[in-house]
Amino acid sequence: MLNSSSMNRITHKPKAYARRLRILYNSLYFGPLVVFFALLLLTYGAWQSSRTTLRNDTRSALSDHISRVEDNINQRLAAYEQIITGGAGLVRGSQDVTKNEWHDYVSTFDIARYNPGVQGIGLIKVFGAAQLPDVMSYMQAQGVTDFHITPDTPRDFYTAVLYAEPPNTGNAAGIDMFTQTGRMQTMLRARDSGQPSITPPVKSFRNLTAQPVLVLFVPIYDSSTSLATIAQRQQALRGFTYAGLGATDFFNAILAQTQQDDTMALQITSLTNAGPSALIYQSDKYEQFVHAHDYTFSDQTMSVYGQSWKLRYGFKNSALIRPQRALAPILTLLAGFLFSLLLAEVIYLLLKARNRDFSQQKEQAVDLAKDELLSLASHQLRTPATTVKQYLGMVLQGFAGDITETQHSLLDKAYTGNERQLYIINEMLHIAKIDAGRIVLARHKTDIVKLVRDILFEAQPSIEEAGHTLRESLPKQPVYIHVDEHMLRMAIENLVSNAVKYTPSGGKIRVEVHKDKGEIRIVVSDNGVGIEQKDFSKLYKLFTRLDNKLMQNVSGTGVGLYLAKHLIELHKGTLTLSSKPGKGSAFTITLPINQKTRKPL
Amino acid sequence: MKKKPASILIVEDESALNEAYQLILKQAGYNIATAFNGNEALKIIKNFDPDIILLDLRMPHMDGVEFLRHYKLKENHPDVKVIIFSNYDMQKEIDEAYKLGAHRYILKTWASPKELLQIIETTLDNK
Repeated sequence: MLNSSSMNRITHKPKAYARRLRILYNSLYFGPLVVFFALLLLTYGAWQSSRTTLRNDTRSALSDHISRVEDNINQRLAAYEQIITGGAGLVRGSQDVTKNEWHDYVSTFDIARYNPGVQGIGLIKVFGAAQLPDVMSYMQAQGVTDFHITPDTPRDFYTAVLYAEPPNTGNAAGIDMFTQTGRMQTMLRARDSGQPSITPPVKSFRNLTAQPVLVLFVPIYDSSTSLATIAQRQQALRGFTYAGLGATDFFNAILAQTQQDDTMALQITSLTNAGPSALIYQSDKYEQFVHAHDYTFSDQTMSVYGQSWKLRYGFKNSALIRPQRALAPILTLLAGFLFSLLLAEVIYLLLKARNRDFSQQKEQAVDLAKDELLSLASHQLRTPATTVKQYLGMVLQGFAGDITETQHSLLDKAYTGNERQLYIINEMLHIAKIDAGRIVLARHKTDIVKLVRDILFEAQPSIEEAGHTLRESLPKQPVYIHVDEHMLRMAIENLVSNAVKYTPSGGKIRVEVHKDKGEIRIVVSDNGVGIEQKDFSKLYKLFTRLDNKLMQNVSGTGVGLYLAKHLIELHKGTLTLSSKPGKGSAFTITLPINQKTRKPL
Repeated sequence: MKKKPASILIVEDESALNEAYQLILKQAGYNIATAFNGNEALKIIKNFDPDIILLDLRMPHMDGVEFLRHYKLKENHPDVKVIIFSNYDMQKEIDEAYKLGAHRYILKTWASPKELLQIIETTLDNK
């Protein structure tokens, strides 16, 4: 429901935000916050950059590892290729190769030791049906008495294995490899291209091994003809040499060479076959590692002797990048974040300190100005007030001849008023100076006893007026101290005046001066209203007068005790108080007789 | 008891006060000379040999401290007692004055005519 109050709320919202934003902008937090977020942004950038670098490093480590494995694969396959190409050359060289010759040839390679996984290095002869009897008798003549072609169905031409070495790989002799599709297609490819060709994964004949088998074929041609065209090659084909490889053994050996401790997983599938028969090789713990979080996988294709293989490599991340290195991005993030916090904090503290300095400076400037003003005004006031004092004084003190009693008493009142003026001006100046710490003491050898006596003498009128009785207890001998007489006079006068003011009429005032070892003690006591313990410290505060129902019509500016205490302390003395409400108070001034310095303060 | 009356030089820029001091001191029988600032004082002092100089601090053209510097109180006139008579009580200036050989410092406001005479007497007695 849109009534006026909800309208107000709607319009106030942006204003409130704007105001809050402005407050934030002006607050101490603004700068540091800006810095913080800016640095956070930088940290974010650094983090991403670090991640990218890590990714790139991982990738290049990965590709290094992969290259190494690929090279290994290629090298080992090349080794086989070399063997059977050599074998082919052997056959080409002579019309026929005997079993023994083949055996001797293959033996030179010490297959079992250097080429694990080998299922057989063999020689295949391609011949027409007409040559069959010759082949049979040739084989039997060599002592292969149980030689027969498998399968032995009569056909136009045969592709039979004559010899297969080493002998412990099972007797493959007589097998017609054409009967198996994969091998056949590969042999045809080899024939037509003249290049070594490898089969897709095939099963071992006679199940001599369960692992997938790869057979590498090299064609043997009649060397007398040209082999330029496919047709020519087809015509000239005499046979093949082959190497059968157990894929599992072959790739296990490669893995064993290129990795340690389960840091690599490998799966190889043929892109020719489909389904389960496409699998060429899968490393031991592959299934496990595929689901592991700490492995990186990469798919590659290899073109191997006419076949396309998909190789899925898996490497343990710690094998690619040292774990410490892998921490780099998160550490960058953390460090950046902490640094942002730190710097923002530092800036905040700096700003705060600067602010404090500024406000301190401002405060000091204001204080200074205040003191200067007070000082100036007071000094200016002094001159005319002093002039009045001199002239009134001259008349009163007989420098202008005799005056009548009436004249004297009138002028006396004026003189007293002027004295009070000067006194107040002095107090004001002193306050200003205390603030600025600039009180000047004009020290001179002063007899304290005489000073107190003079003060009491001058206080007589006010004491009598109040109906008080005064008791003095002063030493007979003078006590000289190097002090500012007028300052001390102010202090002592203040105590006496307070005693007179704050004692109800008819009270008792007692002033004692004692000389005690190295110090002099002046005690001003009364039986007046007294002061409560809790108010003691308040007394000395500037412009404070204790709330005192009895004495509300007593005049006073409230600066006396503040000044008195300060002046006494300037003379290295103390002002102490003991009091009981209703009983009275006793103020004690203690001054060291040795004022230490003879130079003016 | 001194037969010859003492000579006092009054250096004070405020004319009313200057006159007042003259009156007071003349009445008391002293030999008086006055100046309104430091420059004048230096001129007068060529022909006037004071026992005491009542020196104001704040004066136009040449202030009290400057005067003392020029006068070379300590070196040339060790017998002369300089009483700083001022209403401006600034620590630095007073220190300077004392360093230059001033004898005593009095705040003008404290001294009534009688008190002024007392101070002069005390100072002369201490010579």
